[in-house]
Amino acid sequence: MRIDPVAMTIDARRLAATRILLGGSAVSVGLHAYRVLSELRDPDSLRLPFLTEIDLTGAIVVLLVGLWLVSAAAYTIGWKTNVAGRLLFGIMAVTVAVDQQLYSNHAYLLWLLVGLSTLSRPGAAWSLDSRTHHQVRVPAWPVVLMCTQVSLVYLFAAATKLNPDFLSGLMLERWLAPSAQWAVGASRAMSVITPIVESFLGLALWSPRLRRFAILGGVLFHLSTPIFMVGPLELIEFSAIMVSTYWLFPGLTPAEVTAPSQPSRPTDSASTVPG
Amino acid sequence: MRRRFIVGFMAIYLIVQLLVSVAALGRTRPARFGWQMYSYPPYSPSFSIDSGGEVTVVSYEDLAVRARGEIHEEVAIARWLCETRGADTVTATRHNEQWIVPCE
Repeated sequence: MRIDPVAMTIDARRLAATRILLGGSAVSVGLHAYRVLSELRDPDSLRLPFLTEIDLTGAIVVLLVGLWLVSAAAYTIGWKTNVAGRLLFGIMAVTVAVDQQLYSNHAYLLWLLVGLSTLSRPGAAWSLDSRTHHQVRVPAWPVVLMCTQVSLVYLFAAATKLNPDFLSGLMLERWLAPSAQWAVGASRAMSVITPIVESFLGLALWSPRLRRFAILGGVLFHLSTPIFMVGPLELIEFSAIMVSTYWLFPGLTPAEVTAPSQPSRPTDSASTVPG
Repeated sequence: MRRRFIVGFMAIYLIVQLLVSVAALGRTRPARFGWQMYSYPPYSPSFSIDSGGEVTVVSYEDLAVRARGEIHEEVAIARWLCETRGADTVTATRHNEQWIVPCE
């Protein structure tokens, strides 16, 4: 059977569930950005711009973060979803470009996933938009990219850990949270297990036979990292972002591809989602 | 036309993401866009500020609003210390590397 990735579709509710978690994470990350930007406004603060230094007035900070939070909230609740998502995508890029201290891996991943989701119809279900314009299935090709992105994160995270320093346990020991110092003795074992788990997750999420184990393992893995590692709030955000894509994987492999898009279920009028 | 655009976009996106991540493997770690979380030592360069023979040592964590490990701007930070602390020389040290920045 010849697979046409462009014609593939996915249940709109699954993408909607991802949208809600990504949007919630975007609100949280935006609040962090506000804290950092506010501190960067202090003339005595260290500034490390990507390009040229921007004079961070109060108005600019309020504008950037305000747009960020409003678009994130609109994206989460599914109001003018695609417009909100694209605005969020743009404003995140502009805000992080202000200073290198605003970059984080999970903000970068969030940015990519939000942008990709808006290439489909993330507001087609479980949203304000869907109350008048509901769609049962939405284009899957952006979802394929989202899932592939998540796999790449796992695989490259594993690859960078394949070095003697990390595998010896010394790196993990230094990153353990103060409350998790009791686990120091297990650092070496955890250091060996971690890239194995990440590699497994990066591949097994695509396997219909192994996916349930990957989902269970991934959830446990992401529940444990905020407990054991420093920076728990950022790790909670990162965990939410990663886990939010798990239910997108089923149905994307050639063995699972269903028939091309089924008819949408219009309520009042048009069947397409606005924005 | 639309189909070709989508297939092309997918291919370009995947190639770029692969290349960016692979390239990050060869850069000083941690590198941005490389997904190198927790695989590197906690980034902690220190800066020795020499003002008229009196030396003060400050850490990156003391200076940064948010001490990101992906930032490798030891010279830029040293120059900022030159301007803000009225130093004669600032020496930045990270792991086995050192940068000596004379303040103008």
